[in-house]
Amino acid sequence: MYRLIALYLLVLTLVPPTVRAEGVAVVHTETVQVGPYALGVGFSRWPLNADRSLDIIFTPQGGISGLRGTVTLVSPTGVADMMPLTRHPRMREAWGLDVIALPEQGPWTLVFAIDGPAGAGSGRLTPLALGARPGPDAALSWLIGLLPLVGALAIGAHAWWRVRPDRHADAWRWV
Amino acid sequence: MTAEHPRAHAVAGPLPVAAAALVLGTLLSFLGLAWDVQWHSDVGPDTFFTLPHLVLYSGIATTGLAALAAVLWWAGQVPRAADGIGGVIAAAWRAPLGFVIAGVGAAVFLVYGFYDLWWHEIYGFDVTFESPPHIGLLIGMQIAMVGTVVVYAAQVWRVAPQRALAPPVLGLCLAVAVALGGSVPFLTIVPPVFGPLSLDVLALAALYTLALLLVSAVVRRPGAAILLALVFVALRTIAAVVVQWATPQYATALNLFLRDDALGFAYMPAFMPPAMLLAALAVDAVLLAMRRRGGGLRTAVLVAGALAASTLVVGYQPVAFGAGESNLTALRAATRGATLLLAPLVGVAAAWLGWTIGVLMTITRNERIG
Repeated sequence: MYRLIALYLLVLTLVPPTVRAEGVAVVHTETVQVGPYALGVGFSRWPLNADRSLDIIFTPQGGISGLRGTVTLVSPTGVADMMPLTRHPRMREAWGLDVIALPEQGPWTLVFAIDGPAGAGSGRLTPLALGARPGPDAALSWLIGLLPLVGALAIGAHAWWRVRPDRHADAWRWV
Repeated sequence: MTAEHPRAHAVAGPLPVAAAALVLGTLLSFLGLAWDVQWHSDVGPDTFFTLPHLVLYSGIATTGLAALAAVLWWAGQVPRAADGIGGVIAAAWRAPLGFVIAGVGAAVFLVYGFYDLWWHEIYGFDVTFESPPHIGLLIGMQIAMVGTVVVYAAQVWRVAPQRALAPPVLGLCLAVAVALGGSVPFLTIVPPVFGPLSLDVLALAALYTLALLLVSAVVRRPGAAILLALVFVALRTIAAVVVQWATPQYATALNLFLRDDALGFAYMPAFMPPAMLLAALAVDAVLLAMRRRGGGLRTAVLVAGALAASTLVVGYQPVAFGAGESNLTALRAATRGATLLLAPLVGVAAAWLGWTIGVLMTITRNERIG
């Protein structure tokens, strides 16, 4: 048993760390004027599709030091999600949203607010067009995903019903 | 009660070893999952070949192989209706039920692992936890964990009915605690507020009450619920320590950084309620008191359930994510009264279901399947 555990730990240490701290390959950039600040908005995929994951990099001209701000993602149906601009974990000289997906097809709006030495300002990137969601129909995907649950519940209910444990002689007797 | 049963040798041979491998495998997969969730929330980048995935998958592989080994060993023990693969399959259908369930769960996990791989080809890597392949994977894992509970429920009575701290009893408590840990992802996708009720709090109270009474029904002696709660809280603590230590370590090893808005606490363990200890105290106290006073067992079980669920609702601590949660906090406060009013009813139903499922597992071990 101890040998097995030791072997397991050994295998763990031998596995090459295949995730590397690479930067983000930006394939498309838009520029937004946010008050006194020119903000580059870089995308790791272009064109965009609903539900398809990507990284978005925000680079103010002159760097992020001394600046802070927020970005609000507004969906085509008007759902707004505001978050602080934080450094991208693999591109720490810029702000970024790493591995996110925008869930709705249609025109999105990114609203920025930045505060810094040159004063406060806001600006927006609109419209940010998102194409259709790739892959199969969402309902079909969920049906496949939930099949094991349906199977497990059906078999469990069947077993319970066949045995009727609530009517068993020992069920409600102190033993 | 069962010593003369023709299949009493079901727990002889290598089955206790296979059972231990089963529960260790599910434990490992739970720790891997907790680490993976923490990794995604605090660091981010993902491929299939990360250490958290490796721990998760090796845990499930251990469970699956242990289940397969147990079923094959059983197939070699029973007289065969036919030779060859047909005989093996026929024997497997009569193999100890828990191992079959656990094996099926591990296989489901594997199949949905491929679904997940394909999913990432289309949508990119892990944006959302609640994707169809992830839910399928986690259901497979939960099935494997329930199978492990069935295995230990089958062993508890037969091996050592007189000893409260016998290895099968501890194994049962660990298996149930791990299964509760594995249920965290499902509880987190329950809508927090539904009409005048905190739905996620009620769901949590129902599930944990069910688990407490299930273990009590299998073990049938005072202290079973408390033992489960102690093992559960120990598991919560170990998982929290492991993921909070391992996540920054692994990030540093890969030259990655924690996010600026990293959580600062262990995510999955935070959803495992420490109020379980108080609820378990209530269950054991009610069962013991009613037994001493000659009260009916059915009444005792239902009262224990009502009290346990109420305790879990009162002791519920929402997981705080900081900004943007004030709206939910207000909604929770507004729904507290109605939720607390409904808690005893939910507890009664969950207790009845948990107790009868526990009885079902003991009947299964005694009369139907080894």
